[in-house]
Amino acid sequence: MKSLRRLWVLTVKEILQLWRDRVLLLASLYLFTVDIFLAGSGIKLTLHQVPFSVFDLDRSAASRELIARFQKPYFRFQGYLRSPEEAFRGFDQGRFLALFDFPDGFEEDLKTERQTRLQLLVDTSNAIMGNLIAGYSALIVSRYAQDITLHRLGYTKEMLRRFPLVDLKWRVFFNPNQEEAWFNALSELLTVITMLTMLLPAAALVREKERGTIEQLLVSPVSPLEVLLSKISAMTLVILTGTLLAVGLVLEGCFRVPIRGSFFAFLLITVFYVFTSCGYGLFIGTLSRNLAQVGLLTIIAIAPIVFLSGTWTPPEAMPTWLRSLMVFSPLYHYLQMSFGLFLKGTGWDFLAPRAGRMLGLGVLVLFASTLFFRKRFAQQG
Amino acid sequence: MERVVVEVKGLGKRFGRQKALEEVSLRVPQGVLFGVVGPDGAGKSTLLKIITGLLDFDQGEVYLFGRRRSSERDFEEAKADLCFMPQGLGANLYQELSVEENLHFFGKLRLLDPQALEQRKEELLVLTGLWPFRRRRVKHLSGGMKQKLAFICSVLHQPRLIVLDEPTTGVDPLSREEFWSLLAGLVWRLGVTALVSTTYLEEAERFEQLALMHQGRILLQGTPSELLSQVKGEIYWVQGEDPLDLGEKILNRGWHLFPYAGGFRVFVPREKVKEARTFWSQEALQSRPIAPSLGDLLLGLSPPEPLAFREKGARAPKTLETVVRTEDLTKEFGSFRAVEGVSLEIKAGEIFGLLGPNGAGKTTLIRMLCGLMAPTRGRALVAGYDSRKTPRELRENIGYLSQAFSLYRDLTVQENIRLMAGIYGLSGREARLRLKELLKLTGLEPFQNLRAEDLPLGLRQRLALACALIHRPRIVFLDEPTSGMDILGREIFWNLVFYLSRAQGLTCLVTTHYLAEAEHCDRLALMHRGRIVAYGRPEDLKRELEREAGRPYLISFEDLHEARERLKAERPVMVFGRRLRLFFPGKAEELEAYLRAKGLKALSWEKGEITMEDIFFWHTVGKDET
Amino acid sequence: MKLKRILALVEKETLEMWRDPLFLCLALLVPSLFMFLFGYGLTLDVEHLPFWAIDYDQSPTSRDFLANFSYSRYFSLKSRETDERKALEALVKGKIRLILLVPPDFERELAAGRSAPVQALIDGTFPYRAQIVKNYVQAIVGKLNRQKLKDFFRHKGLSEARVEALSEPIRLEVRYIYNEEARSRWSVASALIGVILLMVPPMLTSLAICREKESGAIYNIYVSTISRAEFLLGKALPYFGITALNVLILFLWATLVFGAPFRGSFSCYLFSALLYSFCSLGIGLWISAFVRTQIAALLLSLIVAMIPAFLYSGLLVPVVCLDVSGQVEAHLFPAMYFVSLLHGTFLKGLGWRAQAGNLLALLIYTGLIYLLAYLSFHKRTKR
Repeated sequence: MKSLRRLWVLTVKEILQLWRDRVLLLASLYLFTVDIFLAGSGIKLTLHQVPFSVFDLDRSAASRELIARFQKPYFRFQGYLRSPEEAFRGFDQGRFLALFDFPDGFEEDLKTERQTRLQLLVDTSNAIMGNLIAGYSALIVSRYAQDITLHRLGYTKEMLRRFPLVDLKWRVFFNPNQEEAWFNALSELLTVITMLTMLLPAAALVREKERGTIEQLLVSPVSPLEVLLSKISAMTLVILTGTLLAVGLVLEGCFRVPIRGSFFAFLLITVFYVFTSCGYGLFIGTLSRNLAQVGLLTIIAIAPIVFLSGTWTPPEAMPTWLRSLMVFSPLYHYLQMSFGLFLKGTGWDFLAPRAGRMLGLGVLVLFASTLFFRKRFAQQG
Repeated sequence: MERVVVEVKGLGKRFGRQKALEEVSLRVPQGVLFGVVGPDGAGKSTLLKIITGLLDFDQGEVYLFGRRRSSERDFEEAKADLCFMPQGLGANLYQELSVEENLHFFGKLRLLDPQALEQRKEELLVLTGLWPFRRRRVKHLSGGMKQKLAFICSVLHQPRLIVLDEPTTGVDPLSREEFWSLLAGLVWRLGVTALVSTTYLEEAERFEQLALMHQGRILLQGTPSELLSQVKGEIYWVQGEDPLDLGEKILNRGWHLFPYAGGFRVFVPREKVKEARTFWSQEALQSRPIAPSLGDLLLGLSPPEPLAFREKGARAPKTLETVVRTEDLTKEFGSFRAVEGVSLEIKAGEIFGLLGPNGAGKTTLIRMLCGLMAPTRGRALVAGYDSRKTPRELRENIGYLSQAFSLYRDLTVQENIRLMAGIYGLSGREARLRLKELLKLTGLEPFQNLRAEDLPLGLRQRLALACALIHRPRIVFLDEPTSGMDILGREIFWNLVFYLSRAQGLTCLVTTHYLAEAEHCDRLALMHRGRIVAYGRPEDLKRELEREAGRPYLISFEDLHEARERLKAERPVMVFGRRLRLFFPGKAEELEAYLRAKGLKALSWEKGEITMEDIFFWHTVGKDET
Repeated sequence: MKLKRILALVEKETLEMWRDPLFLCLALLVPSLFMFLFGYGLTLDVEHLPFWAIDYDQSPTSRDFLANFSYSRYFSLKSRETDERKALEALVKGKIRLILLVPPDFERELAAGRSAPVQALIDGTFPYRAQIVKNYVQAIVGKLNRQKLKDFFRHKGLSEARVEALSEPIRLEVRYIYNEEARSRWSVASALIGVILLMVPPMLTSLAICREKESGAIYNIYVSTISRAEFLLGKALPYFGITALNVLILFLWATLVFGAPFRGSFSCYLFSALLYSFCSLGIGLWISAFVRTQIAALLLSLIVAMIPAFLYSGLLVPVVCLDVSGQVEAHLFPAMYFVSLLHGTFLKGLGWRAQAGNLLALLIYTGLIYLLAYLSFHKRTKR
């Protein structure tokens, strides 16, 4: 009973302190709203305004027609080149990223039913973009070629079924229109939660050390675990508020991210996640002596946690040995569960084992923090 | 004609809306040890930083080495001839570098040629006794050593003006003494000027001239004796049958008082002296006039805050119950004994002082008593509980006010008290009652909705005391509760402690750096190197010292330096401005004969009072040497 | 300018750094840590995508068809159980990214000269990844279809030339230049040098100054005769040494660990990287004129560097592909010039002359930063 009261007053204290720290409050508000909005609407990893040039020895209607199919917003035509030297200079200086080289007699070949060649040079110094350019160009060219063949044979598009072809039918699950904002905004929200839950409790703990208030607590009947737990419970409240704000204003308000599972379940696993992530933060807090150290250690710790979660990188793109380390990143579990709840509508059979593993990590680090906490203070002379 | 090194006229400086300095004017003649004395927040640092060109100012004129300086460039030109040591123990040192490496850096930064650097380095290291530690990293040095090193690093390039910002804050009396003689020696020998700030009013007599600062203004300027003659009143020591009753009556008259040597030390305004004499004869058991100190200057200037003893007639029952009992309490860190065989007894309702230099083991002892640390050997019973067996019960019966202000600055007065009430598990109703009671007791009612960070230091410490008392502990541990506070803040704080002890029977264990404050305690223990070296009532300790060493004399000589060198070998000598302070067991005539035998001639001499500082030295340095 | 004073400062700073393990770790390990994390992390070469094949036809043709996927390095077959419900569940749980569903009669339809549908069910959670999966599947199926079309025309008795012309009238020959196998690891690793050298060095200098502001040791500088320029240089130089070391370490990371080729002029790389590091350190010096605490220095240098380093440097998206506002912003930060210098020296094999423009821009930028730092730093403060 007394212990509960202590926990309660300490939690109220933490919240009051946070509320009074206007800079931190504004920073958190910014992160939960504007930052997530920017991440959602910011850069796109898809083709956009790719500058390309053409070296056309044919100068025919056919080549012009094909060029015309490379349109905005995906491509941007930069004009014709006169010499191969100009082409290499242009690539070196990065003036365009792709170059189509039409051979002499391009149209003629097409007309006389001879296979013709078209060369595409792609600047892959940025390989991500280069890959996309090549893939998308191939699609445009093959559509154009298909149209020509059909035309030649006097077929309409509907008559394609008369050929023995594999007819690929797509079904994209979870995000059928491929809204990049859904993924970007949601993963930014999760990253923001991670950042705040690691930095804020660590900073709060170190501030107590720096200001000596921790001594006052230690001579009172408060136990180290109560001190740590009160910080976690305060953080939980803050994060839940911020999450509601972010989901309501940004995810739903701006990007209309679907919530296919139970929103309550999302809030619940968020509470679990805050517990775990705060544990990591408090661990950093017990190790460091001042705010600068907290900052450094957080940078060092947060990078692998975010990295191993699969936010930026699909796990498939990681080496196997790294992939096996992912279970140690609480964000990995949280991310899977959150995407499951928002986009896929998964149920508890999916959530329960992951939530269990995540909480397990949390209990482990919190245990370690309490241990360190005691040790650190017992040693002080 | 006297040459002036620093002159400041009508200086003004604001930080945002807050006025830091107002109409400050100051003259520092060449070759003088000049002090800027005042409590925390008086504007001392700001003034020193402006003079050394580290801080911009809004109004007024600054003259340095005879030239008016206003732009950043003007000050740049003067920097070759001055130094500045910032506040904080060894704050300007590089903690990860060794003693020698620090000196090298300062020397090279000041473009000393290698030979001169080596020579001066060696000289100064030997002089300060740091030579054996020259390869040690700064972070492993003691506080006193850091401060000496910071000082010699600053003066390595032999500046004409030495500016030191609170060099003695946080340094124990022993190191303080060493520091003063070091500084005085340098000033005399090289004829340089030193401008030094301090919060310790009792250090004022170390300066040749000084300025007393308060709330951004300079109140008075002159030599210590000139300043003392300005005290607008007389000081009495009085003792009454019922101390609370007497104190109440004195406070009602609007006179300042401190609990002192079993009675009160009362400041009586000059115009009330007659009234006081009659009053003493009616109400007091004993009374006698005592010498004023510089702190009294400030008292004379401000009317007392109407915070008197609160509940009328409340008296703690007289008991002889023991609240703290330690037996052979020892704490070892590896091979180092921080506390060794301490056996103490503190009775209920006592104000018990714990004194000692840094590293004497005071904090370790308190931490063991509070249950923050387990003793290596021995036993401590606090309020009837053994910290090792029943830590939680112990914590519920003690209050603790730690060295640094350890409350939540961003919470209000009320919120802080409520938080503590919750932590100690007080029920809602109980907490409300206690909150009201404590606000009234500490006089914080008008400030209850202000944030702790917006309170002046004095009020903050009262808040800290209120928080430490929330759960009605049997004993409170006050670890340097008044450091940095101004004299009025200290007065109120001590009176509060006195009231709590006498009216509510609260036991208080206090440590302090202000040795003068030791006189406010009922009994005290002096710690040195982990042991208790003296133990008893302040007046008994003084009497004992007089018996053993005699009375102190303040003597001025033609050649002070020479006199000090000759006397130093036989007995401890302290430098006080342009005089030496010397203990001599015997009459004045005998002293003269003694000096003559040494080939010295006193220009003038004066008998001094035995202070706690003397007791401190006798039991630390004195005992070390014999 | 007194060289002796600068040297004194450099010596002291170096000693201090050497004895502070945390700081040294920040200076020497964090760049490598970032290189490791981002190098592996930002590589978006998706390989071994787990997929599930449901073959209702179970014919030689359908098996051949699916074999095209399971033998590709882009895909890896997780299961071929014909249970749609289980497969969908695996897709939901994120165990697989793609389901290929071959209907019954697949072989029969094709043999009859009609088109046969195949369903590809993709996990669209991460649109970029879905896009890649689509590209891969499309490429494999496209190739297959061309072959089938050829067989069909051949079967009809058309001449070989006509078969070619009808099945593939335009043969698109794609040539990747600079990065012949389009490995994102190559382009990311080289560009990361620029990003990391913008993130870490400003932290070093701003922390080093703010640390002294916090402790009070900065007063030694304020009160001494050292000039502002001497101080700034003395603070920058030791960290310049460390950063120069990192310039080499990061080079080794990019070439040895991530296998990026280095084709251009090494002297040009070294010069531009050192210049850029110096510039980056200057940003930290400039920042430290405004902030007083270490934590503020840390946050500010992160925020100032993070956004331009990641978004506007050309690391993820080439600057030419940005909107006009984005392009303007990119030109305001030094990262863009250096990243294009990096791609130039690493992948494009360029030398001094071809990159003169970028070098000049960096030079001007560096001068400007130091000028600003000099003007903002004062030995006499307002507060």
